[in-house]
Amino acid sequence: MDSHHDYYYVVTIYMDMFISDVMNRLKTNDKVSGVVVIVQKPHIPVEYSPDDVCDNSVENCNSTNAWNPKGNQFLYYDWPFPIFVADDILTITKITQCYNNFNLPFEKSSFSRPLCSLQIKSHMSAAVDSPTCLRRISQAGVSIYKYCDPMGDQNIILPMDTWNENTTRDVVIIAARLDTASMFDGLAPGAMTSVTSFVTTLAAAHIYSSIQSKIKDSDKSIVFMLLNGEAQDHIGSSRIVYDMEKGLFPSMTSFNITLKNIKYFFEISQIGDSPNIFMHPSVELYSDKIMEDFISVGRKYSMNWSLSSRKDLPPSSLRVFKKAHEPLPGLIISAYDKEYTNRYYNGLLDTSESLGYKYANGSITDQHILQKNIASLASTIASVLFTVISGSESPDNIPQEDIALMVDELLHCYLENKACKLMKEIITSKEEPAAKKAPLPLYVGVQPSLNPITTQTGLLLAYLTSKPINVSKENCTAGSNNNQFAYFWLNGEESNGLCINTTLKFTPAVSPAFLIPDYNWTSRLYSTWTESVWNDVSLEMFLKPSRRQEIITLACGIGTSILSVLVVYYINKNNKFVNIFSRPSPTVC
Amino acid sequence: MDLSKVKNNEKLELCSWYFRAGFFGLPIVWFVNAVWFFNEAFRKPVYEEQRAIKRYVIFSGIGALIWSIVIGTWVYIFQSYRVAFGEFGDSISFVIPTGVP
Repeated sequence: MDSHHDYYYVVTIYMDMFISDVMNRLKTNDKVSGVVVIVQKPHIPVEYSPDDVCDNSVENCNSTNAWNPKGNQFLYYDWPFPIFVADDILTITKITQCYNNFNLPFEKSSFSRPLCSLQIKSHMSAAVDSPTCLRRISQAGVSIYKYCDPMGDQNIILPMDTWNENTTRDVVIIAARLDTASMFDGLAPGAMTSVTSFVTTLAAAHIYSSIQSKIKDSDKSIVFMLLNGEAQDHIGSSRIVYDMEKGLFPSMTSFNITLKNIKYFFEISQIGDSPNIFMHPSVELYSDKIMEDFISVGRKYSMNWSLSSRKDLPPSSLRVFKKAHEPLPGLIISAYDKEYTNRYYNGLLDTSESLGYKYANGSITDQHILQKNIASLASTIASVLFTVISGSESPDNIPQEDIALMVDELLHCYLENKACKLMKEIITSKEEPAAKKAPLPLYVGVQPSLNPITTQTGLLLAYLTSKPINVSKENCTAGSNNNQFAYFWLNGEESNGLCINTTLKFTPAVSPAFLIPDYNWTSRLYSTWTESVWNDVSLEMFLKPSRRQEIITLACGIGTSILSVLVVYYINKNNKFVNIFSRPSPTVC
Repeated sequence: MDLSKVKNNEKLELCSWYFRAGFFGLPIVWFVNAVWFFNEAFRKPVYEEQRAIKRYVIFSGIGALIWSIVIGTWVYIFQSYRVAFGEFGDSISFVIPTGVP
């Protein structure tokens, strides 16, 4: 790029050039004022993860033994220019056409003719860091202006039993993360990053709820958790831990779950279509029979469970829980062994396509390995849970075909079409035209505005785990008096509406750092991510006139204003023509 | 007000009032005084009150100059070091710009 002239550039690159080497060169070039990344086949990189190689700055991890070796850390760069993504064919065609027609061949003499230009607007209000911007909001005197918002949303908690609020009982937690990081607004597909694992959790919850009635009596309970904001330094899990330590979890009025009561913490993480499942246990589990259970039950569902060859725990919510309560027995269930197999972790290309998902739409065949695999995994987990809670063998008759179909529908909802059949049974949603069918972005967002995915997934979890009750819509609003149950009115299969009675709870997923007065921002104890406020994000394309034309226009403008001044002066001077300007003032001082 | 239509003693009174008002932290009043009465003080033919007016004009001018140096220096310091002041910088800011430190 020639830097001898004073033109600034918006660089348009294909996605496979969106790599550290290229971007670092653009970053250091002060003539670059913006970048547009074009996502179009065949220019798709084989790997792209904007996260760190050790995501969430996990301990015992460096570039040589990274969990996410594909990470290029783009999320943590201080970019001096805005970066836009163009992924729709219309925008891409327009940009390339305009460039080809007006800017080629591009050489020094090009500046004497009109050039195709892009104007990018993306002003971010926040500056410096979270403490500074929050302090500025709190100090704001006359101008009440918001610079940033704390990130966060809600966690989804589903205890499968209720118990007396004065007693405590041991719980087994099955958790998965709900969110995915995002570098671009509205683009956080997170197919393998989070969708497969929380869909496995939803399926396992569904299976467990269907066999739960066979358990006569138990002193232990199952709690399903979908954690939010985990990509941002574990907002959801750290808040749960904080609330548990305060004795406020899951809420102030109902029964309590404390860290000491956690019998097992199972976390499902990054599942793919491989039947090889790796277990990452905490040291407390080495002598526990539970892992053998997983291996033997898994074999029944033709899955190959094995112990990870790496001893330390991968980046996970479990680490947050363990940090607060060291002797916690936990297990991470994943499809990766020593490092992530996902080539697009937390990136915009982590889509149904890269996952190899094909919508079965009612008929599962041998092609649909992913659906079957998740169904087997969910069945294994639900069976083991049954054994843990009841102490007896789990029933064998889990209908694999039905579960695979349900998994297929779930994946379709989260990967391809937010207005899918299952979601319509939950809420009324508009049917989008085929071209606009898209999944809901999984980026956690900021706390004042909840991500629709949280509510919908929570209701879906409740829908899949509870039986409808015969109550009219008017009466389907009240919770029971001790706040253990909640009633939700859903659409139902025939859209006739149905009422469910569930133990579902939404708990805040906002970092404790924003609650603790005088929090020490440098302690790194809790997530302190905030998101800048912005308005008016736009990309405009236009023809920039040639330099000569610009100079002529400017000269004409200056000439006209000088001329007008002269004319006015002349008229004023010769007031015999017009005497309106020098008429004596009516008031005499 | 057109000074040419004001009597000389009224001019002096006006000028001295402006001079005195400037002491209440009003450098712009001093500045106005200096500019407004400059012609009266230095360019009009001599008259009785002119000496006094001249004195007021000079002192008003000096006062306004000192003030502008003080304000200018402070504006320079504030604009260049607001960020470095950190929390104190924000607390003495009326409007904090968006998007920049």
